[in-house]
Amino acid sequence: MQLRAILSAKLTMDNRRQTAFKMQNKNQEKKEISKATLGMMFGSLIMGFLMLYSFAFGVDFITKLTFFTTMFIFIMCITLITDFTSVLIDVRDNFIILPKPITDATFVASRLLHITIRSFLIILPLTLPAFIGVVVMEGISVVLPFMLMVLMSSLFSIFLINAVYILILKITTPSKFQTIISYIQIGFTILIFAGYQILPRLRDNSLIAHTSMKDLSYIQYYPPYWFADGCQALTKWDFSGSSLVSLILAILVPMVSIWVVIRFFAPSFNRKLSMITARTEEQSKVVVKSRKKTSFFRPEKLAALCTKPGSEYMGFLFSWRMMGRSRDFKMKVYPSFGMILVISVMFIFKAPWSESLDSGSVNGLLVNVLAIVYLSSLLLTTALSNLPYSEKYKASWIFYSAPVESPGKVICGAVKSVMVSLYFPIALILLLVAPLFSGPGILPNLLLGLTNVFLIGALNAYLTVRKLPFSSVLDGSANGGTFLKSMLLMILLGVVGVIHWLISGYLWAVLFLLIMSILLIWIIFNEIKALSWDKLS
Amino acid sequence: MRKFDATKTSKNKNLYSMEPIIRIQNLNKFYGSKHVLKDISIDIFPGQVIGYIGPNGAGKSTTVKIICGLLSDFTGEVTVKGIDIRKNPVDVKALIGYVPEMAELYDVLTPNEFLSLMGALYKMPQDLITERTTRMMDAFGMAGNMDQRMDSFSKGMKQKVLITSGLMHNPEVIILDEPLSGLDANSVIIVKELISKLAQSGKTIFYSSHMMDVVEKVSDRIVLINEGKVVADGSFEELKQNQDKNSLEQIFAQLTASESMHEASDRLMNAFDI
Repeated sequence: MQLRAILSAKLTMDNRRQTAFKMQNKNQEKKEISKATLGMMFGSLIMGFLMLYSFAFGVDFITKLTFFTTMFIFIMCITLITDFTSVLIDVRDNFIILPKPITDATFVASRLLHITIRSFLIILPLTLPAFIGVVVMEGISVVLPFMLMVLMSSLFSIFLINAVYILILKITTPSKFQTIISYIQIGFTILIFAGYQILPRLRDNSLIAHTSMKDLSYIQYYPPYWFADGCQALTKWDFSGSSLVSLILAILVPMVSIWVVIRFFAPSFNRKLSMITARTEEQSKVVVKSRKKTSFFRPEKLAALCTKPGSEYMGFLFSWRMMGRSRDFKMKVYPSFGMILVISVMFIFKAPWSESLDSGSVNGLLVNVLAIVYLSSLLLTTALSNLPYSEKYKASWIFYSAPVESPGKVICGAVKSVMVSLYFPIALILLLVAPLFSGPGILPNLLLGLTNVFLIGALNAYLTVRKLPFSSVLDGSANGGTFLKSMLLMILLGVVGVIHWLISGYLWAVLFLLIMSILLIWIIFNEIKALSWDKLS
Repeated sequence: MRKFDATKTSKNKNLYSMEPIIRIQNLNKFYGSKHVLKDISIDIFPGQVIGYIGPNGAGKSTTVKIICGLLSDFTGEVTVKGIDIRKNPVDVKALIGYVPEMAELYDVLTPNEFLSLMGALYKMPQDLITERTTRMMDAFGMAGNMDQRMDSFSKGMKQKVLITSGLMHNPEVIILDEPLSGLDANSVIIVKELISKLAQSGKTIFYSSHMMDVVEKVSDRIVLINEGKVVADGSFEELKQNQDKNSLEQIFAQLTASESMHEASDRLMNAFDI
């Protein structure tokens, strides 16, 4: 009874979660599935279609199914990490549910069930395309085995993530826990991105195209294979070979592991999770060793270098620190960082153009380098578009109660800090590495490219960043005007890139444009600084 | 409402002058269709300590935010030292020190970083900021925490940082919204004494709170607001005479309760009698 009460409350909260709460609009009390949940399901459906790709691998049913199961478990794990975090580390439970007389087992069971129900809403659309696919491949007899397999592999994924969580909690402190989870999520996102680049090439690899999973001796130890094998065994009603073993494993292992989690891991897990709340004053009074600051790259020095003293200097320092420490900002921006890295690597090793690295031509490398430079400006775009938003947006009252005459200066400092912290490292690396490959002749063009990126970044900032940094709530409401502006900027980026490539051979043109570019940047920054309160949105 | 006579209530008669330092005239504020502030008019004179009390939802925080320049959508006139807050908000803000109630902070920052930011926004030079904030936070017993991120701080610690941030630029007008909220007993005493001493040195203090006993002792003059209107304005002595009650709590109850408090507590107990 307690279980039902907790679950119904949490599911209702889920439904209401992402709808923007407006005071006047009190009609949003739908108890059925809300738009947020539907959107999530639709996204899963798209993902499900993409997963059909796994069926392109291999020769027989079992190979395809194993690939599919692997992908499935991988995606489930990623989704679960996000979900788990928000469900397991619901700090409010510490104050609302735990003080009431509930056993640890009930509590953990409620959380697991909550996750299970939410996962179900994702799994259904996710596996639907594949479901249809396997029915097409093997006929109607595969229906029940497939559903069983999906269920079991889901439970297995839940157990896996649980185990990972417990492992992390054992190794580090609860407060670092959330940071690590965020980094794992970022890592996964980048992995998926890299995967979608690499997998097509793997498929064409003849070795994989002609083997079957069955031929690999060590495959028996691979859990997704158990699920695939068991599914196939049930479908064809053929329990020869290792199939029976696989089937038993596929059913037993998930169920036993979940039971183990509830019975044995629950208490210590709960205790550690409940420690992830604000520490008391006594704990805080223990003087923490102040982090050793490298005297070299102290943000204060950088700020003094790039900005004028006063509001601009402060805007720089403020955003620099917030960017470096704000988990939600990092979560939104760092994946882009990783993706750009992946793209760059791909460009270097597999240039789609006929001029390849082997020919040693300056032109070939130049195209690659320019492509990397201009594409990486997308990183700046992402970061700038996220700059005004933060979970802690209410703290921006300080900018309104203090006598700030020109908010534009604060914004300008913030924009500069974004450019310096995110783009400078890339620029530096390119400036140092590229000449090594193709001589110092590449430098003017490289400089022009980098300056153009800063220019477009500054323009982007001037047009779209009309709010103080970290001062607004991100409510997902896509602003039509900003979208158009972003599109325009993308087109501009392309145009500038092409023009640059066209004039790249003419040194005088390059140098001239370089000076123009720098001048324009200076002008735009001045315009940003001049933004007054009424120009802010 | 009797016309308020400042000469009788200002504790600092030396610093008393005829010109109000804060002048609120016919202030009206709507949230949508809700009429939150109804024709508020108050004149505050330099060196006074105003206790601004009222039940929840009466409009206290709204008034405070308007005076501080955080809300600009209102009708009526609000001037600080003769400067209209709508025409010249920046000049007004420079004169005011605002200590909000348990406000949200950018708590990934350390107190040093946060106070440095605040000070810069008030155009203080860096060394002055460092000097003052070190002294103030040291007085609060937080010298060892200046380089710790505030996300590990308790409520009281954050409130101390907030108090420091509101006073560090030595403003003439200090506006406090429940400043003692979350503080431990020692710090409450420190802050109460601080308020008296600030008043004695000539600062004007606008103190909004629920805590009647503190307001009683600290204020020269008490303004009671209910449902957006001023229902009482005078010294504690005057109010006691008018309402024929002995404590501020009783006066408050008499002027604001729509339902007898005793009835409410009886009904709560009755919930158990099933």
